[in-house]
Amino acid sequence: MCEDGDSNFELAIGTFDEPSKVGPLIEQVGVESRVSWFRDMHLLPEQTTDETRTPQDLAKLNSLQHPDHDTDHWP
Amino acid sequence: MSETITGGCQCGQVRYAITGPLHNPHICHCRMCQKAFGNYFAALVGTSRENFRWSRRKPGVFRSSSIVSRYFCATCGTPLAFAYDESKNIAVAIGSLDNPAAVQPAQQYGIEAMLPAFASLHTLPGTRTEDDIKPEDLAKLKSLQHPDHD
Repeated sequence: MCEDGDSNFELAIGTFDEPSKVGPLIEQVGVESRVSWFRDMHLLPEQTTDETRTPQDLAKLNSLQHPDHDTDHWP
Repeated sequence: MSETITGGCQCGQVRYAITGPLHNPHICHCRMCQKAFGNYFAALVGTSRENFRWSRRKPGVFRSSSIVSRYFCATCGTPLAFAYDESKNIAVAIGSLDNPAAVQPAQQYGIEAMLPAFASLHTLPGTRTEDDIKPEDLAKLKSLQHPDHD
């Protein structure tokens, strides 16, 4: 995202190859639209991806997502 | 028949309508959802495909794996939906609903990829948009986003 006339440019953290290395986050903005469940979402019951897929689906699953590093050729 | 639930992308090229019940509201931390949403996690809610229709233009589609299609607006990039090929259901992005506040996630999936900062996001200090924009910029600001209704 870039505001017109602003010399800065903002990147979506989830698009970094290593999003866990970005931060620490320092603030929230736009809180007038914050959803009511935001404060407690980290308390919801948890499952891993492997726990929620059938063994048949896991066997068929072939990721088509670009890996989290540069590649010489793609796809 | 239940009330029609509507949503769509930021620019309004792609809109959808749901005429049945919603189920399994959740957030997903898996690396594919992070990437597809550019975010820490995706917030999604399911419905039956037979109660779901694209009501304006068709979305773009990316097959993120051999068993899943992800739908988005090819014009503005808003992530919109996710579906397993063999499922009778489709899940829409909660943030793309016209009334996202009406849906409350009940489960977290994909926690193997949960980012370390996730559990403390809600503790960050917060400001309102109008407090972050200079009065002269606010005066110039004209939204080009599609309104939250058909």
